[in-house]
Amino acid sequence: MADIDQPLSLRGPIRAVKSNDLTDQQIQDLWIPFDGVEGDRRLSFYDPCNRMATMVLGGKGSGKTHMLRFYSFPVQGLRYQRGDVDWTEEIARDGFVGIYTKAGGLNGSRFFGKGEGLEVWKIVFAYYLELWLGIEFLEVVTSMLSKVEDLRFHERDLVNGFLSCFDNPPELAEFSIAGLLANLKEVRKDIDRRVNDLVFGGPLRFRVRCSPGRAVFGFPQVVSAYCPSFRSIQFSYSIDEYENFLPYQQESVNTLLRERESPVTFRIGARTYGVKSRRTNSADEDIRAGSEYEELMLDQQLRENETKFGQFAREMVVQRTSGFGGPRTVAELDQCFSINAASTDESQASRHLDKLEGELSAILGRARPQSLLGLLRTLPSAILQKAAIYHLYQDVAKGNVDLVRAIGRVEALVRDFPAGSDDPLRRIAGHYGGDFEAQLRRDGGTRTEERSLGDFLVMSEGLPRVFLTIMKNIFAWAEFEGHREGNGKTEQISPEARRRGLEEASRWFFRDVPQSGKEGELLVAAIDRLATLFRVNRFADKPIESSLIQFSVPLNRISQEARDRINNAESRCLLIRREFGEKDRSASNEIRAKYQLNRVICPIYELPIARRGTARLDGHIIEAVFGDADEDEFSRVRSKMRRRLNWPFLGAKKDPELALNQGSGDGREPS
Amino acid sequence: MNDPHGIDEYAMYYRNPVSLSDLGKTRYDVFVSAYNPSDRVVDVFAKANASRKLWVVHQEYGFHDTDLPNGSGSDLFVGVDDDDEASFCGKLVDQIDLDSLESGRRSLCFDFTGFMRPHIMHLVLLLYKRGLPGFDCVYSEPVRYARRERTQFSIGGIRETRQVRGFEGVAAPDSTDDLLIIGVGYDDRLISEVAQFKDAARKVMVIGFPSLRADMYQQNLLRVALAREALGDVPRRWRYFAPANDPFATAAVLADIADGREAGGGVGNLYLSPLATKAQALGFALFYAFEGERRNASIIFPFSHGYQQETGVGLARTWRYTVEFPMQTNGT
Repeated sequence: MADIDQPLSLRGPIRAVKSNDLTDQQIQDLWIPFDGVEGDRRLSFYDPCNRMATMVLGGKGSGKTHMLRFYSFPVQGLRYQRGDVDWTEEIARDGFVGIYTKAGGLNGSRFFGKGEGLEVWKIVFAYYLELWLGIEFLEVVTSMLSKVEDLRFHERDLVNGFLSCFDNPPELAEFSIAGLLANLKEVRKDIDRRVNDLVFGGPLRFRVRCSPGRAVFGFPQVVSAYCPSFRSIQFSYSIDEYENFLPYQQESVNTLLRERESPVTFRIGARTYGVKSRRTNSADEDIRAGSEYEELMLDQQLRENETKFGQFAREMVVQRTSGFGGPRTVAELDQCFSINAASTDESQASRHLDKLEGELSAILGRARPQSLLGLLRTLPSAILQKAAIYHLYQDVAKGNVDLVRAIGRVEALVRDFPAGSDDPLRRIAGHYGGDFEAQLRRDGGTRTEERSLGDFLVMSEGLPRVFLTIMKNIFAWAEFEGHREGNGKTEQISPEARRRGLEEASRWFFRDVPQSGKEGELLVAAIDRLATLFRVNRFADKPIESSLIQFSVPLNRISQEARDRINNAESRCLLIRREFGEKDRSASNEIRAKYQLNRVICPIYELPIARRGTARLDGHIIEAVFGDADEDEFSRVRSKMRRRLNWPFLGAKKDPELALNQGSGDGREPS
Repeated sequence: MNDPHGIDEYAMYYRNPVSLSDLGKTRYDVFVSAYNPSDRVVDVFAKANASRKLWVVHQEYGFHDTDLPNGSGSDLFVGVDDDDEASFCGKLVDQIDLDSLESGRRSLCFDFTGFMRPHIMHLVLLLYKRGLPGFDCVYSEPVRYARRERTQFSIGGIRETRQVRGFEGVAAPDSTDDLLIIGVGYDDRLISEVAQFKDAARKVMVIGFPSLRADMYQQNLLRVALAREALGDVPRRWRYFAPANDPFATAAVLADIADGREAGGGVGNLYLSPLATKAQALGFALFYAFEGERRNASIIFPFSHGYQQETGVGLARTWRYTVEFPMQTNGT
């Protein structure tokens, strides 16, 4: 590296991938409608004019913030600034005014403890939230004042109306919206100081000037009442990063949601795990999805529309690269990630044969295995050789088998190859080919598997930011390798740059996503254990199932700890729950929940991204992975699995707690 | 604590290297140090000259009772798990008993080397609020960190990330122009945590340079690089330098950064996070104390469950800093 500071910001055409790093103008300019009609700002799964409150839930990087900011001021206002538009007409066309705020900005943790009880903090926070949202509303109105004559004309009436929302109206130094805004900011600052100084013995005493909801609902009602152009406009408070609120604080918001009054609605943006309470302060009633609010699982929505996500994600990348020397169109992007025709050099691949020779010689002496080895070398590919060896291993693993006869059976298969369209060696190679290729790559010291753009889209699991991060890192490595010296817009990016970029993105995701604290560590450990078991299978002499990154589990028959951890992993997108579970073939016939490892993590463990087999995990194995089992217990499980799957296949009799079926995967192969 | 006397020229503050023998020549009423078994803590405590010496025990170090110092001539203050930094420091100051101190500047001396950073900061404000005119503090540099760039400082999970008690400041609702200034140290995990906590804020890094030892600058950068995804793209012009062992220069750099950003377009909320040396943490606290409120500043910190008991090897140099508070009028 030429510059010791270089690691802090690798170059490349893609810079900002987080929507929090984008300016308002960039939020507008980089918006790609996932679907919907051009010019119609609705999406098929989201209508900003929907009067029902909406909780927009999703994993990190699912696009919640970008969407909420796009549908709110000030980004809304930027759209109105194009050309010579009439703001009143544009607002009417939108049908809504979005007021965006982040829960993190309130720094809610300061409204807790410090020698005061929860009941006191509930009152303080509810009032503070009222002021906060009221100020945000007035800021939006202020930004519209110069552009909307209706507001300017009725300003005095509006100020009177706003003041009437207060039980104890403040005295204004200046009778205007600006004056009211300045006053409320000072009131809020005073509360800030008192809350801060509480730890130094300061008094937490101040006058509460309005009841919950009076400003939040009252201010928009005043605007609707006095300004004809806003009579049919909906005011939508977008509260993002909801997970940053403490549970009692979320209950304050939930109460507003439940008791909302027209023309107000809410959009709550939160991580899937971020809704800590659905209770309200209204006789402890809960808010219910479908009743008080709608729930939009954003990443699930994107994931389920694979074709649309593919197009959407490509356009997202091109939007960012086209102005910075990278691909300017989707076609150029595809060209950068084109794949060369497969040219596997197997001439050096012989380690599997050497290993087999050693295993058989130890039992039968050096001479007997030579005929088998000689026959194996006549097969046209190393994959077919491994298929034949797999057949032998499968035989031996049954136990009590005559090894010489087993060798004889394999020799017959090899001599007969190819035995018609249903040749057994071809069948095995077709089923386990991906795993065999991974093993050959590892044996040959080669790590680089050529990945396509389609692979990266699959690995993103419907999370736009994950895809952007992968692309960003790959382009940065490509530039580091000098690929942009030439025709960088369409020059094919090397497999090595793709591998390095992907590996960085994988490690970022695994490091970035889990939560803080002890539970976060346990979660990471659980996923690591699961992936480790999958890896044992991947590189085993006799993998029990091909392309294994899925498992099923009877959720009602495992410990609470394990169940909670699985749910936590799912809510953080470390695991993806498959829509359809699988039937338990025991007498109970119950449906087992089925999960898949998030495929962006797979490269860390050299796991496939194709989903095929499913491991049925039960009993002590599921507890060893997801429960509170210690490392020794997991080590025993791992060792047992290794012994079962590798020569000489000790303990290979079927383990009822590690039962495997033929898999109900989608059979997708890496493209 | 906005200073009415204009003491924001941090260069005026006294900062001197001091040998252990010279340290012993100054007699304090009370000498307070946070225990860990490293030479640079234990040796300094032994040489300090005070009527009373007090060992402070942080739960984060995970000491067993048998690990704790039990020598004669020193008292022990043991923190309680449930106490936040405000409760901890309040009880500590009560045990110190400020009323028993002789008047004059050199009545109280802290060795901040082993203290937790939030506690250092809260102590500064608390002592000011309690009317102390000032105090001395010392900080000792190691010869090297035990595993160089692989040295682990915080261990276990991160309990929570929040504002430090007393440093919560005044909030601006509009987070568009939020700025997060991170004093970046070796602990990339903490850097990532705080960067993600204020994901929307623009990030500015303060890198310890000159570093405590020549090779520590590069070691520092290698660790910061591990947090680059969380930090995002931090342009070179947003990387600043402040001496790793100078709290006053650090405070001055923070003031320069804030002034520059305000002149360049304004700052909404100014978030500060000292994740490097204890000396720099003191600087962050002083900057907040003197200038925080007018700048909508607050200090945030990722609270880790635990910290390594020993991270450094040897004792290279000890610094003594004199913190003086402006005279208080009308109770402010």
